[in-house]
Amino acid sequence: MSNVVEVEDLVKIYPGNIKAVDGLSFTVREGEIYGLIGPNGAGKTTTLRIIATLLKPTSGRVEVAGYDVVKNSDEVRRNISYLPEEAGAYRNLTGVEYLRFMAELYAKSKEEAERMVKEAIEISGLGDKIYDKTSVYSKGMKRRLLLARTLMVKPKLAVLDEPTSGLDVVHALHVRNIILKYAKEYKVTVLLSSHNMLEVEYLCDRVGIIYKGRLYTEGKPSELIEEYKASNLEEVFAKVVGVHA
Amino acid sequence: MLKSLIVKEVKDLLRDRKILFAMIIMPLIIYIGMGAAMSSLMEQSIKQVEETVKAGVKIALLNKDNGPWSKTFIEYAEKYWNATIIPINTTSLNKALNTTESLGLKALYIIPPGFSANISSEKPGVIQVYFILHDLSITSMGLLSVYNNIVSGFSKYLSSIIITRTAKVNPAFAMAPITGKTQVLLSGTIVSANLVQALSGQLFVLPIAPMLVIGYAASIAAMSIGVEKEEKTLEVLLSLPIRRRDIVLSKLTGSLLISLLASISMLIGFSYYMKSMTSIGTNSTSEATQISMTGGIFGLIGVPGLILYVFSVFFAVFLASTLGLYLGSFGENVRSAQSMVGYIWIIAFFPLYMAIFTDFALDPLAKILAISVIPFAAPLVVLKAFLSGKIIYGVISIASSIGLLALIVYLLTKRFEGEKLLVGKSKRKKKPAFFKFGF
Repeated sequence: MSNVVEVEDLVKIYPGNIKAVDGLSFTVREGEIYGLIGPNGAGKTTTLRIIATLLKPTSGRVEVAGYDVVKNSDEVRRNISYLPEEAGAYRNLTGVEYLRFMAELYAKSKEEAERMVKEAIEISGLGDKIYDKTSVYSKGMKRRLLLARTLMVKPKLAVLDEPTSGLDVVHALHVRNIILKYAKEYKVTVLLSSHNMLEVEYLCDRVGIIYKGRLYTEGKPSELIEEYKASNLEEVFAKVVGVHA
Repeated sequence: MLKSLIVKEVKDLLRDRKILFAMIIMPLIIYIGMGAAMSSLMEQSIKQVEETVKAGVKIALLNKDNGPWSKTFIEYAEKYWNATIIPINTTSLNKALNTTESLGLKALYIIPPGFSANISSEKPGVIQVYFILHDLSITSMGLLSVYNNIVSGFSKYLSSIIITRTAKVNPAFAMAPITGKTQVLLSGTIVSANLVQALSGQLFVLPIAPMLVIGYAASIAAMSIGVEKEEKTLEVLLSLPIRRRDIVLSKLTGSLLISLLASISMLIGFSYYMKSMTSIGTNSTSEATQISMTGGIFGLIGVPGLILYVFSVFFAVFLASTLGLYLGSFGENVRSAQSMVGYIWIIAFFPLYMAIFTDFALDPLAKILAISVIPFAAPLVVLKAFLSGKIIYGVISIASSIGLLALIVYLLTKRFEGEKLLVGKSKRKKKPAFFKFGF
């Protein structure tokens, strides 16, 4: 199984000498759901933004589908679909118009774009609300629309930053199920970040625990729980980084 | 409770340094600078007129009377105005005007036959003044007044002579023995002085519409990037499989279309305004009516001038949109993006008014060139270039706008390619002392 993401000794320092990522290395294999878990400020979003070509690494190597994120950023963007933690939709477009606009950027023909839109409408589960302007959507509806937009293009790599952040149980469950379905049915590789360790335990094939910009450990959730003699990933995290309640 | 709310509001606003700068510091800079610049420009124009008068005016004179009172007029002009009278000998008005222009003179006075006989028989004498105007500048309008004042001054001078010499005289004649009839040769057309004064007044109003449109265009462009940030759509947009320069191009195309619509709308509205305002200042001469019908000043610059003027307005508005987009990209949200461009109209105000005060016929080449290369001056430079027949300055001005536009587009593309657009400046500088005490 080949690697879709390869991160090697990644360092990101922001102006003001703020070190967000400090020598991070990990790989994501084709078709798997990989979760980066850690508290706020651990460096998860910075890492995902570098992979999505939005930020440039200070040092280290990051490749997506064999393309370097700095040297071949255009090719990387063609292979990924990115959902930021705090993403919005154009408020004056209806849900379907938004999806169509996005589909046209990826599709090679009108028919393909329409197929993507049709699928996205189904993924979102928004029903007739898809024809309303996004300005009237609730946070949960907006998140479902954006996740549908991310997955409808069936990217080689879906980068999801805190996909269920701020959602209620109903919306969160819908989003999780969709992620699982797409990863399994369409072999979409998913790299997601979350500080909700229970969610990650449920979704991910492998997880990496990240803290203060460093990867402390990685592996299958069940293996990590067993290795650290914990009852869940939260306890694993606390033992690995030495944080106590 | 109310006090706490007010304190919160004031803190929130004053701690936003962009708002602080835009709302408190900028007005001080702008109005002090504006006052200084306007008074300096006005003083320069007045000084230029005063120096011309001091050095002595030169007058071309077509004397068809050659009687005693026309000689009195020549003596008066030479004695009280230090004037140099250059006699013209021709019967045709066109030839007289051509000779006057070829001698580099500003005015032709025509004293008609029977001038002295009329005055001797207590009928008002007429002196026709033809002023050759190459530009509607303050200096030129000042000189026009000087040449008119010579005639009105002579009327008063003659009045005192008549009252002193003649015991019984018609009071109406004694008060105004001379009637001045002033016409102006402007861009090859003879028009009344009233019309020229109306057009000159229009010139001062002319920058207002471009300034407003420039302000709105910049604000809309800044808002478009501010909204992307505030609505959190920018991050997704930048991760899409599209080149950054295409994002810039699409935003600029949107601004371009808005600029185009704004320019057309502004020109239609302003032409109507010009037409209605000019009709107030005109008398019944057919030339004036013709100019009025075609939209005031725009009627004088012809179709090529009008086309170039439309281009100049379009580029100025497009430039403002592009600049608005660039400056707006430094804001974190709509409010701060718009505060960055709130005073963008000021960078159009100074060049436009500097162009008004510049006389394209009288001022030194270096000054005219300097005004012409300031991008936002283009609409007025083009207009004046066509009025004065020096079209090259209009072309230079538009070329300069295009040059600056290219530079801003380049900087904008670089900004979209970098990461600062998304993360901004995360470096926190030490707070100035002002912020430590309560704010």
